[in-house]
Amino acid sequence: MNNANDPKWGLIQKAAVHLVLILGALIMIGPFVFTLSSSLQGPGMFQKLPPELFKPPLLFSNYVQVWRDIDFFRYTMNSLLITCLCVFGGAISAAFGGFGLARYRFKGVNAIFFAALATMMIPANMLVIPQYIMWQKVGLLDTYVPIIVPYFFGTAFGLFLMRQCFKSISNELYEAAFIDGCSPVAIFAKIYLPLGKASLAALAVFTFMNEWNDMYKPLIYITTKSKYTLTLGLLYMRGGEYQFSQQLLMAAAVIMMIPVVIVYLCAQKYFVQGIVTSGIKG
Amino acid sequence: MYNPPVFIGLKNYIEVLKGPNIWYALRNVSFYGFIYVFSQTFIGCILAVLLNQKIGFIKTYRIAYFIPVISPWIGISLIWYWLYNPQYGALNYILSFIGVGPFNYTSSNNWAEVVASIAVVTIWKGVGYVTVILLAGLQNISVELMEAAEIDGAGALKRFTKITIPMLSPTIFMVLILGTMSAIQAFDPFFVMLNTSGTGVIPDRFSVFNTLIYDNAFKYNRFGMSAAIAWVAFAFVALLTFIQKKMESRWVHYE
Repeated sequence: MNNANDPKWGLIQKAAVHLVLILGALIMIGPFVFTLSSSLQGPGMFQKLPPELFKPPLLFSNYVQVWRDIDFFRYTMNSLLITCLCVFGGAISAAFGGFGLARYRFKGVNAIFFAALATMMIPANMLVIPQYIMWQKVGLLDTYVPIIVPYFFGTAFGLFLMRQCFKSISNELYEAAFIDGCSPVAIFAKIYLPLGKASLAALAVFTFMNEWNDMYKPLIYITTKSKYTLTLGLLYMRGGEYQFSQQLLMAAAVIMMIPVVIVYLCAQKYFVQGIVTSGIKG
Repeated sequence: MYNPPVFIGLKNYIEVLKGPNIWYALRNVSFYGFIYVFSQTFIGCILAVLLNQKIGFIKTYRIAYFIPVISPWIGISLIWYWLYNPQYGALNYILSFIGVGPFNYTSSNNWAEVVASIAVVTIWKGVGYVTVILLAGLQNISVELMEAAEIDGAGALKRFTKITIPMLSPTIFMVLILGTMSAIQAFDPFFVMLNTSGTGVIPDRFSVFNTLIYDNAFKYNRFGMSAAIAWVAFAFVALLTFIQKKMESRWVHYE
């Protein structure tokens, strides 16, 4: 375009781009504004057209009611417990495993790495039934073990992420530290871990989001009501015996979304990095 | 499982392939995947190109487009259930101003309308993710290449079709593969958008592979049937990935 250097043309172009992007952002954010608004309204706001947003009085009591009347506190704690243990297990197994795969040369190291990677290609739904039967045989259904323990044995994505990260650290650093008398454990803790902090953070954020939002695993493994996670709590709040009104469901949904949104806003940088490494290089 | 498993040969597979459910699932997944994968990639490309214009506020836009990605399906289904309400939903209300509709969305009896409605929510939820991947791909394209083409007199459109698209094609290819795999494995979107009573019963004609696997194993206790369906679904994924891989050399450009 010859007129691309014309400042006036550039301004118009910029404005048009912003217009499209703002419109898109409204479509993305709009439903959440509805959610937040309706969680603060009385019953019957769902039958109003055009919809009214944030019409006073704002009923914060909806939140109190959700928190008190159903066992939402317990569900939140259950979700937090599962998520934190998964994040912890995923991080340490990926860090140790990635270090081993990146730094040690032994027979079959590549075979192990590619076997782990290959599990990413198998659709998760293929594995549900054998895994379920396995946990049933060892009598651990209706506990959090089937959800948490696999993370302590490493996930393909985590191993891949940390191996790539540790591979990029120069070998000379390792050798120099080794000659200076550092033990492998010390090298791992003092050199590799600090340098791999960003990738570990990306992994942790991803695990947090996946497990906090996960519905499938709790759905098949957890049956006792007091062990429900937030997703299950919300799922059963919708129907079944309670028949909760819409505004309470919305308040519960907002409670559930707050932690992920906070984690995302705090760790945006790592999030994007995680997506890009897993996406582009994978 | 209350009885020890007994070897029955291919009986489960025959029963799966005879019944109508697997064909409903195949039809629904194909239609769903077709709409979802292509629209999402297309919209993602447009957004990525727009965000790549060095216009400022990229961080703000990225937050806005990414909020649906990080939100749980169950929460999203609650709000879309209301947006999709044929009588009181905001969507029919908004569409009435441009003279479209009204639609019944997920409460329709028409399978295509139901599946398409679910696909729209999935696109809305996933487009931010795709945009971030594509944007990273765009930023990898060297500025010198673009400038050289501009000096040689290539217009914006020509630069886009002759440089941006070929250079971005590996990323687009990956986005398509990832989308196809997630479409075939869809569970949450169908489960939460159709299971509004919380009882877990989804009408057979709206089912997909994963809801069939879930129903057979955990509702009817037919693990064998369920595993057979999983293998059929896997064969479908493998076939599609194989076809996409074959097509790859025709349009994907590697440096």
